[in-house]
Amino acid sequence: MQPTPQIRLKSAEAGEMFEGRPLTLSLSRILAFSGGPFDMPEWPDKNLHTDLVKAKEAGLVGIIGSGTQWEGLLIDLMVELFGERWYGSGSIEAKITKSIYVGQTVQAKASLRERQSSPDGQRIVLDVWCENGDGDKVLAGTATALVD
Amino acid sequence: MKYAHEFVPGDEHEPLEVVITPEYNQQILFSLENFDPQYRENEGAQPPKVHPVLLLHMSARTRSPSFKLAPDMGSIFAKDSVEFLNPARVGIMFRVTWRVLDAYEKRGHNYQAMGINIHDANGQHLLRREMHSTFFVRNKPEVA
Repeated sequence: MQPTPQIRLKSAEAGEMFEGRPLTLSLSRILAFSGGPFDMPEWPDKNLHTDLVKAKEAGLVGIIGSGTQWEGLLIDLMVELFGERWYGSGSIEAKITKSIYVGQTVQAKASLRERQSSPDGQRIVLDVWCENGDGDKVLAGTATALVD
Repeated sequence: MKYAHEFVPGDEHEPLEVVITPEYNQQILFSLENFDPQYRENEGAQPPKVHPVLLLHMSARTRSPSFKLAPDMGSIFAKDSVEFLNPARVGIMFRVTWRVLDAYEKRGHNYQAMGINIHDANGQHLLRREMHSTFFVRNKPEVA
């Protein structure tokens, strides 16, 4: 049986890689994320993530996903790795480096950079990024949290 | 009322009070294709957790009731530093506050650094965030 990502992280060495689930950003998923609650009047909210006219006004060729949506995928990977500890000690520093258009795939990845001692316990620092289907980075940064 | 790009360090946007419903939390789970039970089921006496990305989503400064862009002006997120301090819970109100920390120019573009905090109705500090954004004239975006 494969160890869980959380168990792998505890014994991982620098450079070890971790991957989240790939997700295709279909129009349905982009609208669900960026359109506001389904029950609001005149859903979806009109913005460059939901409306072609708004996207074109911003100089884009089509609707793009919100970078926060794939930051959500990165959070999911961090919860897999750090478990409950993520909610009280997790942090992310990141930049959105590229846009993702409807129908493109995105996947969160992480690589162990170092372990640090802190008064609250051991803190693990990861290099983190999200890639589109071509392997281009669409988010890059670092993430840290305490481990038991 | 000032436009967003006219804000100077110390200025604050109007706070936002939010209650995440089970339905909206599950809508965001669908958007991420994540159906983890901790976001759907009570944990002991506690309601389900709000997916943490909703704290990021709700703390974008465009969520402030007073946020206003000047005509023909756009704004794009540049970089972000966020600390998760406690989980938010479905059905428990949280309050988002925004305060401009810095306004600066970099390579000919105007940037703002915004300090953002979220506290819930029980007084718990849920999130601390520093978000940098740049402004551009519409139809001429500087960042993809």
